[in-house]
Amino acid sequence: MSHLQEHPMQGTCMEMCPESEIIMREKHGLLHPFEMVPETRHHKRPRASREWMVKEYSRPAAGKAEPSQSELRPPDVLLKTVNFLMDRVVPISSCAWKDVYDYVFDRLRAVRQDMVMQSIGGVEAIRILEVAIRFHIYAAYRLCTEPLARFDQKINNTHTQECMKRLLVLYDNNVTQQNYHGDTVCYHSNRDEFESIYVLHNIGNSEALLHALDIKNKIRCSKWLNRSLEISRAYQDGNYARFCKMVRLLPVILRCAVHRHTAEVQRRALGIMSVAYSSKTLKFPVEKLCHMLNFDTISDTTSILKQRGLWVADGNVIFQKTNYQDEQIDLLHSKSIENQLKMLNASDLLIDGLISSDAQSFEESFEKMNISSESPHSNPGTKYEQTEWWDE
Amino acid sequence: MAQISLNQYLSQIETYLSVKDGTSAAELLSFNHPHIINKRLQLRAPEITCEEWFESPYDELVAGHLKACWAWGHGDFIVAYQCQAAVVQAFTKAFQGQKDENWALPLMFAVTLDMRRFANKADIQLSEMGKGRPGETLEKAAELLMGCFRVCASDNRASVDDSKKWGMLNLVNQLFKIYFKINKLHLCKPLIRAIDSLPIKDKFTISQMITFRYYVGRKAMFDSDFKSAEEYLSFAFQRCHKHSKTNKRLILIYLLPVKMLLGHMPKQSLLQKYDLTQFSDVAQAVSSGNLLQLNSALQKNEAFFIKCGIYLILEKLKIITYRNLFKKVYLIMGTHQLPIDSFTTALRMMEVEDIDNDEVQCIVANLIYEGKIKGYISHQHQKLVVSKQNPFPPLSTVM
Repeated sequence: MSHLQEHPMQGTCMEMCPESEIIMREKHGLLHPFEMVPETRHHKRPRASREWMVKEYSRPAAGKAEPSQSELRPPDVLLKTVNFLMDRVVPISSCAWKDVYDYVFDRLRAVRQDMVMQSIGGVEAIRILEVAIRFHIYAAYRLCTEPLARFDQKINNTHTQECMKRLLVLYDNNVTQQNYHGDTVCYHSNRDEFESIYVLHNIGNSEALLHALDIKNKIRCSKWLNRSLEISRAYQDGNYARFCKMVRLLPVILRCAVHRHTAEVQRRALGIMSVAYSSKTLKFPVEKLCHMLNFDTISDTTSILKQRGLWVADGNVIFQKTNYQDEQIDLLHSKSIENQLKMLNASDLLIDGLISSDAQSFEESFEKMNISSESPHSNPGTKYEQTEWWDE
Repeated sequence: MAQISLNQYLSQIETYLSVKDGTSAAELLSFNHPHIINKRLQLRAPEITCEEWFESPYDELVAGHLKACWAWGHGDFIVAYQCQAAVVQAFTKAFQGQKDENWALPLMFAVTLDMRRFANKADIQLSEMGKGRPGETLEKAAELLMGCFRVCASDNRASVDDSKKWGMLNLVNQLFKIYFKINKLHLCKPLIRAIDSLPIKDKFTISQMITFRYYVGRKAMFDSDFKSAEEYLSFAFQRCHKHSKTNKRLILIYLLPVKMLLGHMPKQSLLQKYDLTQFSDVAQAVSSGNLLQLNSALQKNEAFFIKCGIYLILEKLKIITYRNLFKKVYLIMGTHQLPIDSFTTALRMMEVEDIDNDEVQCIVANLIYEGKIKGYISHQHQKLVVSKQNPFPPLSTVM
């Protein structure tokens, strides 16, 4: 009982990495290449670049001393750290992005650990978890074709899920809170986005579905949540046509969240169609199938159909249930998601989420109407370049 | 009895235990008995007195009970649970030592029931104080119940009459109640298997068997095994005593969706008798193929259906509603080659606005795949070609 009343520890480390850790890691040659002073990178003992040092994750173990206050970072420093990782590390292109992922993954984990040790649960915790979730969702998409040995989707998913569960609890606990000035702070501005991610990431899971049904009437804005629920229903009903159609209209972060399920929907669709359209002579146009099931190109679709024993000739497939061999479809990058991602900057997406992709969906509708959009918003790089400029 | 002295009370328990009268001992150690309001028995520290009267572990058992009475008297269910947990632990220890005899079963039923009830209330009190995880105490109680269960299940030597295995079903039913409450349905499976493999499985009291089948039926429903769900829940409903209206109603809440999924619609009179008219619009919508009515019926009673845990099951009725609507179209058209357009038109008439031929084809494809329509689709001709014989087989044959 008594430990519940104890005051949680409050950190005093005002940098992204505690001084003691910088000294220790420099001395023992444990610096990550990102954290080295570039000129010393090839030296026998590289020097630490203070600007780039970020506290690394260390597993709590029996016998290890409790961290001291000077090793823990208070909420605002943690938030600063997370923004730094997204702004400066995520865009690094001098190495494989998988290595960037490993680095950010580890540092985010350390941030969450600091949060837990200080029982941080306010608006900073919400913002930190939101960014962490977007990062994991984005990475799951970006690395979906990596072999298991290099990128483990399962581990990434476990962390996504952990962050999400925690975030949803924080949303519930912080329904109305006031800041120092007595103003009600808007903790929930991104709630629609994250409740949607939760449904789409866990599509087909009844617990997630029931949570969403329960919450949808309680939150102020549920535009995307309602659509995500529709998609989830289409998934449950086996309505692949509706599922794929609605997924195409999602903002990119939500598309990334649902992407891991698309291959399964495509596979189920082919199984159902092989029975329902089964015939020795009747044809189904491959182009139509390609569009309807969100495959990338006609040639991709053709080879997937052929691999499963179906007849393809002159751009048509002949579905025959006796020929069809059910087989898993490998997860690939999707051209249309790639295009959506190209329109914006990854750092903006991870820090601003739906807001940044909403601007982009405006553009899409402009594109559809053949109106050129020359507004200052339309250049996705603008905001980023400006902040860079002010920093110099 | 309510004003008995402590010594009288302890001496009575001592007598019952020594003559192995489990039923009477159970009464004196149960919260269903008036002695608990007796202030002289609500004791904060009865350990020393109890040690004078009883051997271990019975002293702990009785002391735990008197302390639980004290906590109960103060309305503190968190402490009451802790005391009752100690009672169950002491009981398990004693029970394990009793070879070839099962007279203590009534006592086990009493102390475990009280423990589960206290755990329930403790969780509510904890959450009111903003402490603990939901279901935390119930989970701990389940572990202790499992302890008793193991003693019963491993009693392989005693003759049938003296076997502790007679206690298994009661414990399993209590565990079901907890697992359904804390949403850990996967833990039910080994328990079901343990009961199903018992030679005495059909010889338990009818009330225990009804409870068991009620939960197994619900579990089958969540696993989408509707045929078994129907079987178990029907047994429960038919054998449940006609005066237990509340229980019959509870069973119906799950039996109705299962029956509807299998194509059997309930009569209005049944729904009225059990105050379950929430289902009448749903049933009507499904049988007439009216999707709009189905959606609004689900929405109108959303909170009720979610609370009962059947909302997601009822959503599955959508596919049957489509089937019924399409069957009507088939009957009206009077042909075996049905334009996809005619289905789209029918759906639009039902005010399903936002739907195109692709989706309609997809819905039809699913119905064919599940065997609910016999036929095939021709994309080239945009037609559904149905079998000349029995194109819409009865639902109970295809689920």
